[in-house]
Amino acid sequence: MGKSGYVVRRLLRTIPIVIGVTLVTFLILHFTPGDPVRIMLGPYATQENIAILKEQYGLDHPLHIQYITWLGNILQGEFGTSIRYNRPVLELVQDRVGITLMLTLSGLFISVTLGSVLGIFAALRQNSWLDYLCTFQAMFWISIPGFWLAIIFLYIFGLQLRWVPIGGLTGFSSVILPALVIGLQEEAWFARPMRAEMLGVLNEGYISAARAKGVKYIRVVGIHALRNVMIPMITMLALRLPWVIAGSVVVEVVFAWGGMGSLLVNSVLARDFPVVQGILLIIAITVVLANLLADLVYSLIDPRIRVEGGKK
Amino acid sequence: MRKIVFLSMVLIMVMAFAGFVSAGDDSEVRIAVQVEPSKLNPITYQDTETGFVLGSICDPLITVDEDGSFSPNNAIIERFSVEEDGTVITFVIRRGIKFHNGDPLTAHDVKFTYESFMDENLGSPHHRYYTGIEDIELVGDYILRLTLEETDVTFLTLARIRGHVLPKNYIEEVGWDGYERHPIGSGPYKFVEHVPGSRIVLEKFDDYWGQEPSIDRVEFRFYPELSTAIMALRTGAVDFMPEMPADEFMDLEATPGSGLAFGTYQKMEDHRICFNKREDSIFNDARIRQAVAYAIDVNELIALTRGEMAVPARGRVPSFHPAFAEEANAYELNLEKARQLLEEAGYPDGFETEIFAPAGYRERIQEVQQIQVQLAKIGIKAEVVTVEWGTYLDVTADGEAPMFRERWSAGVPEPIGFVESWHSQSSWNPIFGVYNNPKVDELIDEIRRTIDDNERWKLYHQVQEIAMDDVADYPLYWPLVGDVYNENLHIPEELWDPFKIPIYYINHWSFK
Repeated sequence: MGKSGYVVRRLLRTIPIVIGVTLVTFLILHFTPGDPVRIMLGPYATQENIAILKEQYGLDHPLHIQYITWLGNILQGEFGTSIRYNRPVLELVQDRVGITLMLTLSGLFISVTLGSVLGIFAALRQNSWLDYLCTFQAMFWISIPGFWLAIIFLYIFGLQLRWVPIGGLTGFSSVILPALVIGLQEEAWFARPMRAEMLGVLNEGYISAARAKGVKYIRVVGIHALRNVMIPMITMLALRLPWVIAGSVVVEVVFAWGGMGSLLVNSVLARDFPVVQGILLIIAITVVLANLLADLVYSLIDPRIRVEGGKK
Repeated sequence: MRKIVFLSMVLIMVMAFAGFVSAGDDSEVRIAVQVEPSKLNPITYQDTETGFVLGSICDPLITVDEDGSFSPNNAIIERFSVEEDGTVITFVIRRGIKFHNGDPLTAHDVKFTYESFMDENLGSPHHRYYTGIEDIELVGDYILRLTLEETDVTFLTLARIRGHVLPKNYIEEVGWDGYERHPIGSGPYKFVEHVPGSRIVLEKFDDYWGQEPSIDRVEFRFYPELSTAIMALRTGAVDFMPEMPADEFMDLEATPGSGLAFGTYQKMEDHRICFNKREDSIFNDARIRQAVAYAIDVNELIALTRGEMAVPARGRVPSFHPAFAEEANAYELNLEKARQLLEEAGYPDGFETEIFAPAGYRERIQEVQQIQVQLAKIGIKAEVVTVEWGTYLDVTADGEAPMFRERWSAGVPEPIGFVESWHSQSSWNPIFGVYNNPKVDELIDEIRRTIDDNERWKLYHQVQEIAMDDVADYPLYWPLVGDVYNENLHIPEELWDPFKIPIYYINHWSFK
């Protein structure tokens, strides 16, 4: 079995994980009090109205039938129709996934770059004031609740300084603050391991050897050392992805972006089962695939790592 | 170190260059709403925000004048008449009105709209208002005659198709799904696009028959977070925000140099405490409810949450309306009387109970917390329970909440919505804790049959007096609604009226 066999087996293994995620969310949602039809029709709905709609959305069947029906539809690529919006779930997601993707990726980009740069500096100047400053600022951002940081940033840069527009996705300038909020909050997760790994690597013999043979210092750090700290960084990237997606929910709401995060929140509040289930399924698949991708990238970066089952 | 400085400078410069905040231009008004309309369907919508948007796209069948009487002004009818003890209503439709796709609006469209509300399968929450229609008859292309099964003076208030005349041919062609994606009407603005999660854009309709809009484009922007919406308002990124929460409204009003203007109007709405009056509940006993009513200090509540933005209630119909019950018992604060009533009911030392409010409604939660403090003075230990909205609807309707904090809006001009739920046969009756008084049932039935206005207002007075003696609910206050807007926006004075409301007349707005 070669690499492709490994990938296939890994992919097969994701199926029970993904099904588990949907089953748990399905049960949580259905055991939370609150009826989607009653919420939709408001407090003044008649029993007949409620019954008609319940039948329409198949909510009158027992739970296990509802779940199995849903699962069967998913296997046929049918994500169902939103109760609240009366539109196909996939269409709702399609409309918004780009926004969430942009926010997540730009946030991750800032956190990785900033985290790496600060982590390297901290390692090179170990125990200096610069090192302490890097640690301090990383802890500072990570300790502030995301929504509060978002509002404060909007207040300073949007309302007081008028550098960026307030709310909405209206071009490049409107992306900066939301990405920065996510970036700063996540930055510590990359700065700390970067510093620790860098310190370890810099003490290795091959670094001394490289320097002894006259390689420029910046080249030693940038090429020789950096390459060796990439693995833990990629692991971290895959591990942090779900958290970044979760963080973007809050950021989207404050910045009025209306991506998948706010769709998810609204759908949970409305008990819009098909949408909540659909989005969580997509997120679960994304996270599992990201982890798989990270594993595959390891072997590209470090030839010593072979994927499981590969040639020794 | 130099690199960090350099990096941060680059970052700041990028922000400065990119951050050219475009100021609003005169041909567009941007309106901030907190909730995104779920579907633009006049038959089924539930949220006020959808009503705002559809209000500009569609034209009303009939409107209400400042004095609370029905009128053809700004409506698609030229005139209307009510005959045969109120059982026959005839609408004469204006000629020359066009839908946004160019089709003429005729009586066929009005008939179609009525039939859509009557169609059970379309699932309108207003469906039952239309069950009293016996016959809908077309008299030529521009006259429509409705025949009711019996006299019902509340019919035009409740069953005037929610102010939206729908295009029959278009809907038959594209279906309801197609309509929701691209709604058309005969109103001053036509639908351009709905960017999910972001905004709904409308554009001036050039062939509009009525007052020509002075502003070319209307954009409804969704700001789920209130503080973001307020900052957007202060920077001019949006021009108008309807129904601003009272405390924020007062804060902004007190901020000098904000560049904002403020307007208020009274609304057909009351805020009240409801009781579970079922037999197994302690509040089944009217004396206990009266004790609670005497113990609540409404003025303290208003000062806490609304300041100038509310009027203490007496009965349920707001004081600007002729059906306002001046004689109803308002239960001014009287702790002694409250204690005495508790003693008579057999609870001299009070009792423990719960008071529910929906989570996320800050104002209501603050108020029930204050009520908790007030009730403690007569020995009632009321635990405050906040539950998420969906759960709240369930527990209050199922009688699991002994006391709960409600808000109720009624249609205009007939205030039947305020008293209707007291009728033992009303489907709302159990939702607000079950109330059963044969005299009240009788009076409400009589209200529906009484055509003479003054006679009818008297019946309203009576029914409120009785229900207040029973404390069927305890009304707290009538709110004032506050809209905040760009001071360069001109909104005519006459729109600040409970029967008009500015956001439904954007075509009357202009920039100075």
